[in-house]
Amino acid sequence: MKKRDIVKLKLLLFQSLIVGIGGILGAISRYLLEWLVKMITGAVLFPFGTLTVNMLGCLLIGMMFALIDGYSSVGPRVRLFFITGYLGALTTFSSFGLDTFKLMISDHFTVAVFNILIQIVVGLFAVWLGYVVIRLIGRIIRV
Amino acid sequence: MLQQCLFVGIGGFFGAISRYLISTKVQVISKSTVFPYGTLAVNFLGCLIIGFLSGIVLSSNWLSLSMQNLLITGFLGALTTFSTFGFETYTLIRNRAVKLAVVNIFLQLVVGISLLYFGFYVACILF
Repeated sequence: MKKRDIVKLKLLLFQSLIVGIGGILGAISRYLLEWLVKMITGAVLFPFGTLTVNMLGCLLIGMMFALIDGYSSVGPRVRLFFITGYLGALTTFSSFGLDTFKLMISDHFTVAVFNILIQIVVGLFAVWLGYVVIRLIGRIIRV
Repeated sequence: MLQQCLFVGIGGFFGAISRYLISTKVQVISKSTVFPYGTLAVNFLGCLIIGFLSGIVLSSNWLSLSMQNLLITGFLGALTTFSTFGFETYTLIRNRAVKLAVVNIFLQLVVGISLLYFGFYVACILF
């Protein structure tokens, strides 16, 4: 292996480690939040847990990108850790799909369609809201 | 509970790294700077596998609760992502590529859930 390749590989391993540590924390946060939401709502049919983590993740990713757009001090490592690692693992598409699929095959087709609509519409709104709120705060306190 | 968190965390570690490597690679191969092929690829893969695994869970007792937490909640939960999908769709809309945004939502949902069904079906036949 050439020296340049080793340097490249080392960088990739380092980046992967940052993403992985964010992933550990994100996945555990999701697990605990889903458990908490299930305890509070007591719902057995509608997947409020997955909805909560996904909407929270969308709000936070909007906020993070507003920070990145506004402040160059948010470096690539913060981005890898928090956006790719933490928020990527906090939110989930596979569980959302499985929840919807389970609703469909158990004859709750309307609830399944409602779940899809609410995740997509509220999710996009949450990204926008997170982005706008941070830009607004930045403008008010002029930092 | 603490032990289950450990399983979820280990799965999350490998899931997040796999997502990072796969989505970056797919995006490079696709040569697209506009359409989010990388996120599409990891979400499709995750849907296929979660369908397969939940088929196994339903038709056999091969996967203990700890294994389910490791593989499904931890690994697949972190392999797939909703926040990046949401952000990329939002970015497409903001850049006035509304058609692409709709295509992205449609593909993720329809193909994702179809793959999930396919995985589930195959597992139910095999196990």
